[in-house]
Amino acid sequence: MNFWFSLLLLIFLVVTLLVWLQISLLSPEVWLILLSSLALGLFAFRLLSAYALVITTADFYKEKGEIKDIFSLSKKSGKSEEEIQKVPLSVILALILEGLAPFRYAFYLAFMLLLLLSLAVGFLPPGVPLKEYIEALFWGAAITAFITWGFENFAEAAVAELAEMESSQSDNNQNQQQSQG
Amino acid sequence: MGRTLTTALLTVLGGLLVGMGVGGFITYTSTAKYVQSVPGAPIVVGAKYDQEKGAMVLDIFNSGGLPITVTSGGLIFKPQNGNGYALANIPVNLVIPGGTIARIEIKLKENTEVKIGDILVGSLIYSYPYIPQVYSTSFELTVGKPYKTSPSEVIKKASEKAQEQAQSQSAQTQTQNQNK
Repeated sequence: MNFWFSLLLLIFLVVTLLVWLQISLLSPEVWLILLSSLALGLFAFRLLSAYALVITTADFYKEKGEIKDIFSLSKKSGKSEEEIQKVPLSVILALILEGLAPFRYAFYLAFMLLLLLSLAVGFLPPGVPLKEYIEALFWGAAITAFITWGFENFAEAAVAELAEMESSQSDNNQNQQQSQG
Repeated sequence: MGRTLTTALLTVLGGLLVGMGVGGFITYTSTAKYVQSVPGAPIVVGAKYDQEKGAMVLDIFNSGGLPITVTSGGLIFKPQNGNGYALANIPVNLVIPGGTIARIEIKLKENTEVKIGDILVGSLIYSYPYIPQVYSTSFELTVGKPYKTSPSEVIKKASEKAQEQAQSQSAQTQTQNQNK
């Protein structure tokens, strides 16, 4: 995960440098869209990495029936590795998603403030460059917000499906024990 | 699987919306920049004779993006009976920003008796920034018949005319090709 974050940061810094040097390969609006999507991507990185971990872990567990990366899971959820093996996996993943609430709120707050700012700037008379620049920032942020929102939905769906699978499995186990008893 | 499929469908819809928004924004800004650099014609959208001021009043719409600088005006007075006169080099000094309407008043000579049916021809001399040319245009008005239209109407009719012309041109080229 550190590698991807460094890569994102590097791209962000390169784009920042290009904008700062006023390289005119692209129009300023397109530069600003790139810049703001990368900048919000850095803020959303904690969310994105956790969602990616949840999705991959749930998929791996559904296919192979074992936990893939127990070290990262214990790091993200704050539970020890023994505890993780005792509790159903869907509970651990739901705990990880629950622990992301403050970061999620902070991220969507930033996006919402940018949305309000771009709406407020819309009242300026036409032809003011500031208006278009702030709208460009908003659209760049919208791309990242969309990606984050999609990851979030897929992670929640994966956890819900895993929970259904585990509950049906435990029902079967109970039925088998009862029939054996 | 149903839940994941629903999520995928929703995400595709959201992606379409965001993509349309970003694409539309980029297209809009590049088009707006192009339009801002186009010199447009000053179109008269309103003309009348103001009796109290003794002046010909012209409402001029700048149809392009570049500002139009009106440097001076002129006036020809053609009465039905008797002699008329012409005025030239009446200083105006008015800048019409792109896409806006400005009002210009050209005063007649004092004590001119204007009757219904007389003809007034107002003319303007104007220029654009960064274009080393001076242009002129004129508008003929019959006193008692004020002229009034709106920019949207003018643009609508002009685009209809342009489409007709394009169609007739394509028909012409087709017949030419057939003749060959």
